[in-house]
Amino acid sequence: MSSNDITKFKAGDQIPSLYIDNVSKESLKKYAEASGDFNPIHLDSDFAKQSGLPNIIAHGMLIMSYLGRMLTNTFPQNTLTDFSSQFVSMTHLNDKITCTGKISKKNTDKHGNITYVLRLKAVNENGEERISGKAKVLIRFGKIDLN
Amino acid sequence: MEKKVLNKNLIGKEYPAITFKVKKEILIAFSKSTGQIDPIYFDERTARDNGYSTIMAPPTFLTVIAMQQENPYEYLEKINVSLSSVLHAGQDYKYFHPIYSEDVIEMKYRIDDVFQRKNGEITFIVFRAKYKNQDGVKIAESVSTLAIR
Repeated sequence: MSSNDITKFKAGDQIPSLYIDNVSKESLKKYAEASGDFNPIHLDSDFAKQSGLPNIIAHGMLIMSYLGRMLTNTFPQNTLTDFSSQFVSMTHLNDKITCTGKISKKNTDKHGNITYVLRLKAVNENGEERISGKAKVLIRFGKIDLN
Repeated sequence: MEKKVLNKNLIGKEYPAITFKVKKEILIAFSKSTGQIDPIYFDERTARDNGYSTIMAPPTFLTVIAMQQENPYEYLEKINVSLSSVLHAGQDYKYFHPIYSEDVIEMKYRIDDVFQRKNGEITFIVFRAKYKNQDGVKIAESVSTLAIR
């Protein structure tokens, strides 16, 4: 997406959402290997059940990564200045996750730099909220400075 | 119920800094495992064409560095809090500069807060971390909140 398009959002607009059709055992295993988070509550059904959970649960950071992917699908990553998640409830095995982002605030300064504040959500197929999040995006029109 | 002995004395506890080399394979494996398909995360040339020095870490990659401690839950084990009772309650990031393939990142972190909710049924521990790269450039800050059931 060109940087022209991303300047046109206004408060209340939704950015394109992201849909994950299955948080599978395989996705959790791959994420564990790639991240180094081998906590057995994400990998071992027996262990999870003994820990009082219905089955293995997803790494919260995997679901946050999906939200991150939704953000970077629209905004170049170097415009993202703040990104936070509250893990409201556990993401269960085989959840179908929809990630959404809504512009809650837009500010344009005198140099034309644009700041967006976004409200983020990851919900499952029953509308149960898994993550409530927030992000801030800064689109600079001065010199390009990654610092 | 097992008595939780986590207390406010832990606030301010600093951990030894972690140094982590961001190998290209690790970056690519992480991006793939989160379903990323955008070529700027896999292909140097596309990354450069988009204004980045080379391929970079996606926004949640910092969690990988935190996982590189030999035993991130050691002090929990010492006070009989089992890993199975730990849940990730919250994560905040502030970004200042991209992490690129082959960077060497230093992470410094400390316990920022310990508090209880629901009449002591749940204890929260808040870690604050700062990251810089091999040139001393500030990369990011993070706040991670763990809940102990």
